[in-house]
Amino acid sequence: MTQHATDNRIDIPSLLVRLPLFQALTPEQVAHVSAHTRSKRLPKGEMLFQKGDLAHGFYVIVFGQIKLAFPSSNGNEKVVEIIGPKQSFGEAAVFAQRPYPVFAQALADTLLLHIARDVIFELLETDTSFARHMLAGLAMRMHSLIQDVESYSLRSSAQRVIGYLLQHCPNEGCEGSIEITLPTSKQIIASRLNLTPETLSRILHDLAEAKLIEMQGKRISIGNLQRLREYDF
Amino acid sequence: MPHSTENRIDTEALLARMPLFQDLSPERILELAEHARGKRLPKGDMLFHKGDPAHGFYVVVYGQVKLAFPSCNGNEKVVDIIGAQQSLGEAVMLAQQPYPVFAQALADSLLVFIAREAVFSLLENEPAFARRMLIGLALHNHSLVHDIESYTLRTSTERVVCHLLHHCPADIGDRVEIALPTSKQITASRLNLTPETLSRILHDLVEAGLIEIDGRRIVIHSVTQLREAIADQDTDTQHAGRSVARPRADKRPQQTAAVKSPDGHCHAGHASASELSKEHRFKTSW
Repeated sequence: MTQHATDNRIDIPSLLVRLPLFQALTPEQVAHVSAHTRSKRLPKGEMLFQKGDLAHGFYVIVFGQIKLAFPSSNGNEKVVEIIGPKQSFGEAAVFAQRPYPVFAQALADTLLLHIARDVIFELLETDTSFARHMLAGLAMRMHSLIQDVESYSLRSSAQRVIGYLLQHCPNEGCEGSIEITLPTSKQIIASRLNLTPETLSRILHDLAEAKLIEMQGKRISIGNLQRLREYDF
Repeated sequence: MPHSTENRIDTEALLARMPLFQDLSPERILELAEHARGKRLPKGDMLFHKGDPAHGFYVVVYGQVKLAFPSCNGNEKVVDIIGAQQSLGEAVMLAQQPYPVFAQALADSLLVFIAREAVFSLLENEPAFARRMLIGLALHNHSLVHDIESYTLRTSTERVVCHLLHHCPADIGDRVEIALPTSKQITASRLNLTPETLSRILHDLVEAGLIEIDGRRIVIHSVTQLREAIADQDTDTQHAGRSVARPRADKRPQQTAAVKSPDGHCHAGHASASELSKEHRFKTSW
């Protein structure tokens, strides 16, 4: 477990109240949680924890980006999730009391908050809305994991790429054209979708050829969402 | 979905025996029973379809329920097999999403359905219940993450061996006899393998003198040796790729990788699951 040096310049209580998980707490509760929260700056490329490390709390990202991945012996790591601002991770390891099943590494310069497990368990005892928020968060996480399992086991590579692009539309029922910015490099997205970078490039290229998308670096514009959704392979 | 209530089913007594509710007072159990219904599900019957709304969750009293994704070519993918005292559907209910899988009885089953309102009322009033639910969801979360690791990074042989080790009771010695909880076909789908690949691997393990098979009963001569067999496999797979899962068609996942986690163990969520089952005998599902 990495040591967490507290940075005095960071106002933890005001960061906490901006997070959905803590919004319903009273100022006294926020002060109490803050006392058990440490901030941590993580430069791009640095490891936060290794697979197998013990969890002493969970993390919330203030700014930056963290990759959760499985290491593999031949260096072909598998990215499980990419976590961005206001998102949390590590709750499951805290509640399951299991070592981390993945490692965590910064994809950009990142500021994190680490909330200690003891204060989480205290809050669960005293604040039912906090418990409900935590449960809802874990439940949503599981829902998206199960969709990953479906995608890996039943969808073609092109379907996975299209599904990923459609996920980045601002709202589900959106129609017409749209421009999205990929949140990270194509290599990381490929690993996230369990594709080789070459396969991802080939599929994006095919979609561009079919005039379904236009690419400019990390910016992708989708001319007609309906057509992309219905694209048949 | 309508649930036919059966008066002969004493839901109160069933609920009181479930680990998930063991912190509750008899009064709370009684309240809960008013929002719970027993449901008999004959083998082969569907409990819910993918896309159905979730109005509550289920606990299996006896029997076995399969959770799976349908697929257009009929090759469904089994995600989980839920047995007695295990629950299903909490995460979907809490996430307020439609079911991402369908559920079908693999054996004649008795389930208890618990309505969402009753769960929310318990969450408001019983912190111990909330904690148990969180732990259950977290454990299930971990086992899904390990499934994803397994699909994406383990060879087919590793997956089969890990599955066998997962069914070994803890601290019972090196020679173990286990009974697979379901058919080979369903086990294969659960592991993301074709039934042919599963048969071939089991056959290879028999040939190597590591296991003996008699229908669903499998004798593991030495758990240690079986564990070591997959640790040795690294070199094999680098040469011939013999035990690499072959994609079924070109539309299958691209990187059915021949690699494994560097620690070379299947411990995480799986081998430790027997110890887990002692602590939390209920298992949650989405």
